[in-house]
Amino acid sequence: MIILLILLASLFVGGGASTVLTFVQGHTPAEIKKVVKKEVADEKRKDAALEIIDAWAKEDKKQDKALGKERKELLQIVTRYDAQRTETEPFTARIDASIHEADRRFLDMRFQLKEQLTKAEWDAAVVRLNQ
Amino acid sequence: MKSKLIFFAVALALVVVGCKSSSPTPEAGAQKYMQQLREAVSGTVEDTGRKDRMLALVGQMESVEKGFNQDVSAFVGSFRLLNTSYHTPRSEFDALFQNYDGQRIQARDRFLALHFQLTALATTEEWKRIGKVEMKMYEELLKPREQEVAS
Repeated sequence: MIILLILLASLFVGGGASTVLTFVQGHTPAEIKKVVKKEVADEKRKDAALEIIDAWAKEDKKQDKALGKERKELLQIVTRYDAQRTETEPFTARIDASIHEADRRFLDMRFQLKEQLTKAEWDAAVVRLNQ
Repeated sequence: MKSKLIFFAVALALVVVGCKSSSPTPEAGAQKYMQQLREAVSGTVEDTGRKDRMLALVGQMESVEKGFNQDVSAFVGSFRLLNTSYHTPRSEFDALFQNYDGQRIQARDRFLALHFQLTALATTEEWKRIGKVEMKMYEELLKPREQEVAS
């Protein structure tokens, strides 16, 4: 049911592809790290992979906190009786730009991570992540 | 045969998406919140003509939300298929994300337009109550996300 909750909120206040995959699909940093620890035997590559995930998560958290204020202000506007549609546009534009950035970083992380894993490790990790 | 396999994979992915999303279940879903908005309109607006138009708008908001829900499920299914292959090029992911984002923006803009039509039909006094219910609804909806970010 949480999928519906997030979706309705997403319609109003953002929620891009990477958010859906992280919070709905369960590809959270903690989940991905758990899988990497299990599937990557080589310590050097494992550490490199974990660093990639940590860097992505840190940046994502920072960006999301900054966006929290924008979301709240947008909600204050849209629920005000005399609010005009045009008042929401700067907020939605900033939220959209932030979502594009988060999506790009998610895919950067995915491809950087892939470079640290062999094909066999990748296949096993994907199966585990999808369980 | 190949198309059958792809269909099976998509169907399987959607089933799994459903399973994952059901685990951290809060006590209520979006339908409950939409119902609260509907009740706020019904219980507040006395003018039958405006009330009916406002309830129709809430129904349209719900339809947009449901349509977007389907877009998200399809997106997750497609992502899983692409992600399975070690060799999928970045351009395919970029195209998938771009397509999903277009759907998200379209749904969001439609939802906002409906919201402003709803506001325009209410009087100041009516909106005091309806707006409060709507605000509470969004605050509740954002809670799970904010809790995730804070943790």
